[in-house]
Amino acid sequence: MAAELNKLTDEKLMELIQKHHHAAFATLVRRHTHRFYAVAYRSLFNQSEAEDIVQDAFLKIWNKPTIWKAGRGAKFTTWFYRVVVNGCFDYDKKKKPYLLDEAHEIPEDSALMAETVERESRYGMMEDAIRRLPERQRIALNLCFYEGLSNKEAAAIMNVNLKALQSLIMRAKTTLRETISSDIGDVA
Amino acid sequence: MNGDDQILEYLLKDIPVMPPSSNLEERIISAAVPHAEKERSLPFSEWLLHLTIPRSAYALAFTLVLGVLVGLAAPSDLSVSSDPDMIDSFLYDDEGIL
Repeated sequence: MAAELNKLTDEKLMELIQKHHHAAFATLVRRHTHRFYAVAYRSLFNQSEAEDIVQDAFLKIWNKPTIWKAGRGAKFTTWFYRVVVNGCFDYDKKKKPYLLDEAHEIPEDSALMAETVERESRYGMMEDAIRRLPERQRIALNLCFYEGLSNKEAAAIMNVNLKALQSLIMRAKTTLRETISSDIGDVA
Repeated sequence: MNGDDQILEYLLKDIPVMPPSSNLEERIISAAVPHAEKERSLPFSEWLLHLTIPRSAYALAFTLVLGVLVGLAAPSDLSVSSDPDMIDSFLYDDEGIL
């Protein structure tokens, strides 16, 4: 049964989910959880919040599967990016202050510590720089750079036109270059 | 792509994604167990334990029971008894039978 479901496309699975087929839902969750978790994580830089957003997004399609309109020609993943991205936008509206999470804990071994401190400070600097970007710039960068979506797809997900999306990415990159160069020297 | 962009991309790509909890997928799947299935699997004793009656329903039931008890206990002066004189007093007035 599970093997048969694994052969189905996301869109076919969604049709089954609309008939309350729990195994189809499980297949879809197992297929895409990590991918969409990464999207949410790169927007929020917090494990538990990213997990909550992905869980909410999947439960939304289980509890109200009719929000997916089959037959419009849209791919499930493109549509689901929008659900997750909207979740991130909603979260950003009620954002909490920045906290250093477990990913940046530093080991006690001295050699390892020096290397870790250097790496962590670089990660931390980049994370901070991305975190400080306006949310739309951050999401645009996330979709185009990390997810490898085309500008057209990312624009559709963010509900903006192509020029607006290109402008968001350009401004994000400019801001990042400026931030990095002021923090570590001559990057730009 | 110029050198600046390459450095920027290198730094961006270098940021790790903290892996999700190992049970995230199963957590999502179990959170979506059909509601009907959840209700069906609930035994009667469990259902009884979870049964909550609103306070207003208690008040209404209590008032009804009290009303019935008071009604039963009160002397039945107004009731139409089998006393024939009482029945006559309904059937006749001063001028004769209705």
